Amino acid sequence: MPDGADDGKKSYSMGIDLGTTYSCVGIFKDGEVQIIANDQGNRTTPSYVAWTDKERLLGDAAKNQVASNPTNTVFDAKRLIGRTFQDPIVQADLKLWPFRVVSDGSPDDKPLIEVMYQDVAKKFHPEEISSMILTKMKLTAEAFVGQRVRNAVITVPAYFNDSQRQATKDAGEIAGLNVLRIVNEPTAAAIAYGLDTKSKEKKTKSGEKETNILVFDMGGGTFDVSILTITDTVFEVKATAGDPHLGGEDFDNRMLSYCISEFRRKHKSDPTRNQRAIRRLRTQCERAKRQLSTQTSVTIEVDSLHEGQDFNLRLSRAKFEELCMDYFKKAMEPVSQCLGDSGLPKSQISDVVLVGGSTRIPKVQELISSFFNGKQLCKEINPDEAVAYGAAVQAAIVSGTGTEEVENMLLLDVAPLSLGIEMAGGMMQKLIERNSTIPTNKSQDFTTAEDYQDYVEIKVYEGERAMVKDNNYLGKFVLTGIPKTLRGVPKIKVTFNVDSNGILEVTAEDMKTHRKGEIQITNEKGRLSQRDIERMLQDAEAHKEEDDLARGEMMARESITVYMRRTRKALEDIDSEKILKRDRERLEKKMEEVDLWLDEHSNKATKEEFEAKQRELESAMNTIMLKINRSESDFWEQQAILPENEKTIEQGGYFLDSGLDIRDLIEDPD
Amino acid sequence: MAAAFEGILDHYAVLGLDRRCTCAEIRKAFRATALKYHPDKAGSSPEARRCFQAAADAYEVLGNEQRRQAYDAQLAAMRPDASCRQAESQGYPFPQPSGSQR
Repeated sequence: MPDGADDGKKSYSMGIDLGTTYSCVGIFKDGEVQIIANDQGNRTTPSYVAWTDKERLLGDAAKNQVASNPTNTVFDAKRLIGRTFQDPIVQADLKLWPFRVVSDGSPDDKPLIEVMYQDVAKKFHPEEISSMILTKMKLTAEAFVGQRVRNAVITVPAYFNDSQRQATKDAGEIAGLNVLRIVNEPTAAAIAYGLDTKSKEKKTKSGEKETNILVFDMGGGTFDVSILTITDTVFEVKATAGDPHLGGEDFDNRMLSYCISEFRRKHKSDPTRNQRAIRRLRTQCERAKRQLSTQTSVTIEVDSLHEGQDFNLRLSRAKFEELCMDYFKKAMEPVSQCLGDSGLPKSQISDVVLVGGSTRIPKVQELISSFFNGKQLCKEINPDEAVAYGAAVQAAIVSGTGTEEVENMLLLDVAPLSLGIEMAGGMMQKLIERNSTIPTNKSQDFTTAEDYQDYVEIKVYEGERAMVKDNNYLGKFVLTGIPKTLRGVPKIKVTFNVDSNGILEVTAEDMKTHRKGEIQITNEKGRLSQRDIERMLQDAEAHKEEDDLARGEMMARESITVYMRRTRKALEDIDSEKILKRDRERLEKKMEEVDLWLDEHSNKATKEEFEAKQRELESAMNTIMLKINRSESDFWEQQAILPENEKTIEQGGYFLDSGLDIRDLIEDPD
Repeated sequence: MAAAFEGILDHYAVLGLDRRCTCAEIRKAFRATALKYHPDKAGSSPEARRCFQAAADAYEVLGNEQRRQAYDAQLAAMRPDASCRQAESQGYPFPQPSGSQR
């Protein structure tokens, strides 16, 4: 609902595309979206913050002075947000940043950006840097509409995880914004595409026409692919995939490394530690990269780069493509994953929509087009502004400040990663599958693993692998006060709730006492290793077999443990006169043997071995049960007597104590 | 909204559909229900949330051909004698508590 503040004037809600390298703001006004130019007249603003001797600079002003003030000019906060300092990605990025990043020293291991301002070292969280950029975007919007604007929709990469989303929302709040919604970038771009096509088609009146599109969104730092089915009113995300650390900056870095090595080769001196030189060279690389989208070769020139030596290099488009080819190819993996997840064949994708500056690269376009068998790509929408455009529309939808047409629209997004909890044996029990429509709410009943256990620890993970150790840890909480009773008796209901922002909340309730525990997953230590998640997701397919095996073993182990428990219980319950003392002893001996075997082998046995062991036990048990059930046991007595010359297993033969020939139990290989 | 066959939710009824409906009809029905009950349209009333969740759950099954087939088979299997079981409740045990920490 529109908040009726601001002197009774119509209040506005803005859409902000908070990018790794550039940000953009749009607002729905007078029936259409306006992308707003900043005070320098630019429709996108560099995501830069700088501290000089006198003041703090934001946007263009900060980026323009970067070469003269490299250590106090901060950018790339989006590559830090929601991650830990020790995250390998952060550690790798660190080496390329001229500004200093340190750990906050707490167990959370949060990264802090350190700058010198008026001779004092100041430290900032990435959220704070992002909030400064958001403030700049807010000021831009306010200057345009001439009044205060508080409500905002902020976009994030679709593939951002829970902590990165939460941290981005925090950044908005630090900037004093009322964050209406966190929206996925490709979804926002799809809105821009949808409205654009609709206005062109002039209402074909064909009722509900469905179009499937694929949005390929590669910006400065992140990469997303989403497939949507769109109609006049509903934008439904079918599947999403991506890489939260792949974009134009990675290409700049490749060019930079190449230039440095060329400089070294020519001048036998190394500019790596000369921050100013590196910064100047990087700026030229970025420029050259852009030029190479329209030209086939460029010259990179920097006067007096290092130790008085000029730098001069002719770079062809072919060389640039060679330098970055592995990145370009890597970008095709999420495309095919997303397509597979959507269940749609390539032929059903009517349009491939390109968003983000990096989609201007001819080689990238060529690879996508050939993936879709030479398909013409959609370059109709502005790749730099589409996300902010869609965010502004979503802001109008959510706040009810748009036109009727816009307010009738609905966005149905999905959760990018599966969410679940750790089960006995370290297995991941998924409650929410990836690509589930959000908001969503799923519950499952769980129980205790031990007798008289009066609390449970609920550990929450995201990722696709079978074992939690291979997934990303989000957080944990403990539910206490469970009435002490036998294992398996308590009923604990765990509920996962993913809101429209894609942010998770977990609750657990003991169904007997109705005692509850809950967490909103917030930045917690260990949960931010994005590198792990990426690897996990990409590895998930490769490791599918391994996972299936692990899952099989786990099940087999669980199965035999449960069987043992039941047998023990059954044995206790059997009337003593109904069972021969000899049989009871035999069974007890067998169980003892299995117990020992489990102690020794349970961590290394295969599924088949567990199953074989269980079959031995079962046959022993079954024989005895049959005897009990038959009043006359003579027949079975005889069966149990081993034929002469036959040895038991212990004696190196094939017979179980029960008299069963194990060769009968072994299935034919075919 | 609580339509169910003996412990199995009737996803078709949730979306107001006949069991012979086409895939296109399923998608259409889901969109219509979502437009009505999604929190952005209906606010956050518990009833609307339940309806949206039920529709999303139904769509998750019926919107995927394989899952729909399996679900149809499940329905068919229980038709003759409607004495079927509730989906087995999953009493998975949590990992064992470690040490004496609480």
